[in-house]
Amino acid sequence: MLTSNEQLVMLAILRCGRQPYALAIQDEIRTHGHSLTLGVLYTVLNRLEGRKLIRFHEGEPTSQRGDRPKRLYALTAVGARELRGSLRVLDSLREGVPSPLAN
Amino acid sequence: MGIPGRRPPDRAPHGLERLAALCLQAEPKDTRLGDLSELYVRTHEQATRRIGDAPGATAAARLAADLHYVGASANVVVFARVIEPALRLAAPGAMAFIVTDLWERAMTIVQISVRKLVLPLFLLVGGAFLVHGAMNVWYTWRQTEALMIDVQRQKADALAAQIEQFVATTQTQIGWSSAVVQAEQQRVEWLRLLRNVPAITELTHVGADGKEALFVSRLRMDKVNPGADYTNDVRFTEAKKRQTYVGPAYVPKPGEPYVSIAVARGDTGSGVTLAEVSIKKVWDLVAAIKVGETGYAYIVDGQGRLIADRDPALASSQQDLSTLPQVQAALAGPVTERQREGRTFDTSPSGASVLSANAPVPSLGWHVFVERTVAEVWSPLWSVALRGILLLVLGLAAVVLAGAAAARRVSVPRPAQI
Repeated sequence: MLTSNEQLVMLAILRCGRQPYALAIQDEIRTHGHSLTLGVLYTVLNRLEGRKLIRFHEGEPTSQRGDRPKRLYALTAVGARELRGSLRVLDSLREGVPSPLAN
Repeated sequence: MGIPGRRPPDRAPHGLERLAALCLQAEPKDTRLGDLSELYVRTHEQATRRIGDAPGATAAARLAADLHYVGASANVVVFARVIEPALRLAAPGAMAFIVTDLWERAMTIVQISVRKLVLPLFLLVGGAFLVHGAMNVWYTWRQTEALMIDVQRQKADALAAQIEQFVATTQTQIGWSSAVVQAEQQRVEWLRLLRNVPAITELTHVGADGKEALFVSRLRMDKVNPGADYTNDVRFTEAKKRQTYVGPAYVPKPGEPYVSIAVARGDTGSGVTLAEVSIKKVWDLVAAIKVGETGYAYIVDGQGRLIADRDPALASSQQDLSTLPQVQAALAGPVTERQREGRTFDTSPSGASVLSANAPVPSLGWHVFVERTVAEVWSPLWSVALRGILLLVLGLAAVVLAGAAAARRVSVPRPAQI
């Protein structure tokens, strides 16, 4: 089972393209009308990483970051499967729901 | 942008980074410190774009970036050092999930509370502050204005009292010196009077039959029994009726104003004494009035004609001022407190807007006006008003920003919570 924030973060990782690091994920979520503080985001990322639903590798360091590397996240196969299952439940529940929730 | 020569920061300040690393117990190369440093640079850039080239823009942008960095670091520290360890202590499995979900919901409730309660509260307090500020400025303005008009009114009252005193004293002296029946004795008495009272220029004794009996002058030859007929002269007829009479002011030569004063010789029952009295002293009194930098006084008679002004040429012209609103109000009837307070801004003889106060001279039917330009009256109020307006603008900006933030946040669609 995934919490709503876990779903948001995993979807944002998928949408971020080549640079899915913490600030980009936060921006992506904000672009879609929600906001997560960095503290919440790190907690969710750590939790997902602990459950092997996402993994990360380090990118190139930049001067803006004080020569520190970015931590670039990606979904694991297990994570992708878990997210797909979670969204399927949501889609299934939404299907046939009368207005105002229907598309 | 900003102060020339000061480059925008390319990373977060070392002091802030050391503090964040200490609180997080993080290694110097921790990626979270990297994220926070990038956040700092972004915030600085955004703040610089918004503030532009205003004075202190660089300092303000750095302050905004510092505050954002500290806030974000504190948030990360709380979650890393308090929340996550607490979640790990919870039982694994369903309990951990429940705890996590409850925590996230609690955080959402806190966020909504801030948006829906704190911001409206701020709007309410800000609104109250604005109203209080506006009222404070208005009351201060009215009080200061009332104090200033009070000063002008006192000057007008004092000048009116001096004129009354001058005329009354002159009438008394004419009356005392006229209580003589024998012509030669009367002439000697009047010569003494002309010496003692320089304002009196000529004296005429008109007998009870209206015929001129004696004429004494400091400018022309004295005459005994010249015999001129005064039976239809208003000075003679009015003085017979009312004991005393003061005629309208006249200016036979530029700079030499006069009035005719007639006093009935009641004690002897032998006619009326007519005197031509210079009112140059009244002009001097008017010219001596000082109220602030631009204050001045002038006097109009019962018809609204100018009879005294600090400018002798203007006073000599006896300009008709009956069209001025403050003169019309004064001539309209008994002077009320409202008219005397001069709260309305009228137009001066020169056309400038003025704050006007007036006082009547009842025995003569004249009105003394003391005026000051509106620009000068308001000049000391500007500092008070500017301070108030500055606070109002700041308060208004804060309220507008808070209102916009509240409106924007409330209107953002939120994802469905499961």
